[in-house]
Amino acid sequence: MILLDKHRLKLLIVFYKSTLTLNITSSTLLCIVGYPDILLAFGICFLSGGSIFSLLFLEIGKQDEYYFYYNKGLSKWTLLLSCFIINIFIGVLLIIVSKV
Amino acid sequence: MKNILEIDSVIKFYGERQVLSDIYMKCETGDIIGMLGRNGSGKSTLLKILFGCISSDNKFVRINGKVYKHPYKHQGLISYLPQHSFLLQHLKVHQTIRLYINEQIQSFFNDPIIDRIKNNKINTLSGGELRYLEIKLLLHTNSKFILLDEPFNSVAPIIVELLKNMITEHSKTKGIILTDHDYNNVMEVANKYCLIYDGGIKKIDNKEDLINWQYITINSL
Repeated sequence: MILLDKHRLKLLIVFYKSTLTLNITSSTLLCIVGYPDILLAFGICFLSGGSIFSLLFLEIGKQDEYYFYYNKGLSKWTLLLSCFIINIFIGVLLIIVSKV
Repeated sequence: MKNILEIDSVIKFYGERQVLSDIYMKCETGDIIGMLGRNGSGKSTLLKILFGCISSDNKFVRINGKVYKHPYKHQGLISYLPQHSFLLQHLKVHQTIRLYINEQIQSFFNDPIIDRIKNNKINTLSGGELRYLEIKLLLHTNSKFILLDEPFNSVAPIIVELLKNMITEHSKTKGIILTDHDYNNVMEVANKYCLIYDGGIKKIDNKEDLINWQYITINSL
């Protein structure tokens, strides 16, 4: 029900975008070990290690920024879960594309 | 319409140390409650428990008679200004405002301080500019209650006066609880006062009470 709120959906996207740079960077570095199946390895890293690493960075380095979202009714659980769901979706898509 | 916030039976332990014991506090629309206390007395802890973002060993938070476990998860109830900046550092001021404020955006930008910094990135703002923006944002939300944790910290005196005027203005439609070590400004802007002392809340009527409870010395008057 929270996700149906247009305003909070916008904030969710802002949160997700804040995790993307670190996720993509760390997934790119990690996926080299999957050579030559780079796309497969990237997809796996994106939905797993990259996700965890980017969210851990926020947890350790930018704790106070969670209040930005709390003040609009978004809990940490909602933010993290939504992030993981989107990453799993994109990661699975990349894995499927790599098999084609 | 008058809204009523009550926090009751708050008990909080950090390990073996009991920080808060059986706290009760009531805040209504129109109240500006100045909450004072020494470092480590539990002021921020109490505000966070009230907001709902940290757990407690016991608590009841009631807003208009309804009990809420995590008030912050229900939009329009309560907002909290933490001690350290909560804004997203990589965004610009105008982006932040548009993300937070749905209505009265133009009147928000009519503010000369906001107009001056609106195209700046959050991470380039001075401490005072940041605090001013944060408090203005929270006061302009539709939350019934606003919790301000050290709003005057690192803020120039002239900005403190603007903030006090803003807080007074918005208290017409909101209940506000603020805590700060700048007790003079807290006592000037607030219309009710309390002191967190030894885990409990003591009612304060004037600065003499602060001396009696050893928050300040007689030389501070």
